[in-house]
Amino acid sequence: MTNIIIIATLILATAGVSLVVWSLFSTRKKYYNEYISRKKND
Amino acid sequence: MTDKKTKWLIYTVLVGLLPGLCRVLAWIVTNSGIVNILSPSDFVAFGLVLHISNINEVEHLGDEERDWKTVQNGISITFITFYSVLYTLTLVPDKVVDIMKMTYCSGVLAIVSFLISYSVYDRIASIEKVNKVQG
Repeated sequence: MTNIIIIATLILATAGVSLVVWSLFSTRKKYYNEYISRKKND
Repeated sequence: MTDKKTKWLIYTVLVGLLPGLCRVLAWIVTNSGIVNILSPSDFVAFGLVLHISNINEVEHLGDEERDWKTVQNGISITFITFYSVLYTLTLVPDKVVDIMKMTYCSGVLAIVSFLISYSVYDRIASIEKVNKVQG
């Protein structure tokens, strides 16, 4: 039982960290592109 | 740090940490061996508070963030489900599960939940900043 919990924890932790990296990266990318397009319009 | 992130740190993270802080306080004022300083249930409570708060914040975003919202809601629901399983396992006797390993697992997940919640509030703070600039 404990082994199942450890494996599930590792899978979830990996998925969670991947999501964090993707989310932070896509946020920076999206708002940087918006900033650049706003600067061009100004 | 933006206003949204400060509020998150105080209202969500601090409130989520309250059970753990109370346990530390109880550990300080009692004789050694009576109260454990770490418990899986405190980590579970912390994670649950963060993910429920994430779902609530994500729900209030507009439709242009649909894919991101779906992914965030999905991972939050998965974490909440697993935290529920972990909490249930804390109620069964020590012979069935190793409580020390459970504590480490829930601790690792709590750290990951904190990072996920930070990424959610970072996005929300960025959206608010852009909306302010655009008026």
